[in-house]
Amino acid sequence: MLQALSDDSRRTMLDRLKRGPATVSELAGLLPIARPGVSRHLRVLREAGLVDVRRAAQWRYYVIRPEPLAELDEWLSTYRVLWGQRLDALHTEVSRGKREHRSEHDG
Amino acid sequence: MDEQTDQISTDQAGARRSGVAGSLRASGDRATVRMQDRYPTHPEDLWAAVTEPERLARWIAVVDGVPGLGGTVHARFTSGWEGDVRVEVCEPPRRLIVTSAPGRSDETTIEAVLTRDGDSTLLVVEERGISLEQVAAYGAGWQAHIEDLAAHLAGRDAGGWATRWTELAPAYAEQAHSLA
Repeated sequence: MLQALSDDSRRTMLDRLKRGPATVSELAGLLPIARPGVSRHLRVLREAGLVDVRRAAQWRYYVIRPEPLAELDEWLSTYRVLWGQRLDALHTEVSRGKREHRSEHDG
Repeated sequence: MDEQTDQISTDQAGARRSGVAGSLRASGDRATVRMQDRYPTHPEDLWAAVTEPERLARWIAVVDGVPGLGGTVHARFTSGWEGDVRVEVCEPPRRLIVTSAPGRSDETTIEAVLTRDGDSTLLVVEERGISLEQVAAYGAGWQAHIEDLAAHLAGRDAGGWATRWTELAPAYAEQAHSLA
């Protein structure tokens, strides 16, 4: 999935689909590339489970699938906790430094 | 087209952006979608918008070549569908009848009738021969298309029917349900 997200064109498509369903023509209109390229990007996004194609008689359109992104967010949240702890530690360290600095001046 | 359904409803034309503009009807196991709308232009301009490849491409389909009477062209619609379309009747700037997917199980007939009405032109589009299971999707699809046509005539970008289609689909599903 991260590989699917690692491309500007595909992120442009996802950003558009975030706002609602879209046709292939609409998605193609956002990109300076030819139709076969658009189809290829859409296939990568489909295979990664990030988008779904809906069919109703002749009408075909794409919708975003939030599930894989939610999983990614959950995975990243464990790192956010880690970073949060480190930043807290840094804050404590900075505060201690300030206090020591002040007491040196006062003394 | 029968006389009863040919009556103009200003309500339908006026409620374009908000409500449902089309109607569905059934005969046996086949159904018809009917759309009508009024456009602030003359019939010749509207005729060009519904027949010239350059203009068709801006709101409904990319067509290869200029279709003549009795001729077949390949069309790729903004819906995602592509296939052959054969011209059956061509009476500019008044009446156009085409067969979509001739000879296939999903063959349908599409008729467009243009009528001058003062400074504007009334357009009635009917697609006939649709299966009952699919007619709701056609209803939402055609309404989105004729709204795209309005956008094209007004000089705006058209072809982004997906959002509108999903808005309209429940109302047409209800209409289709009452046909069965």
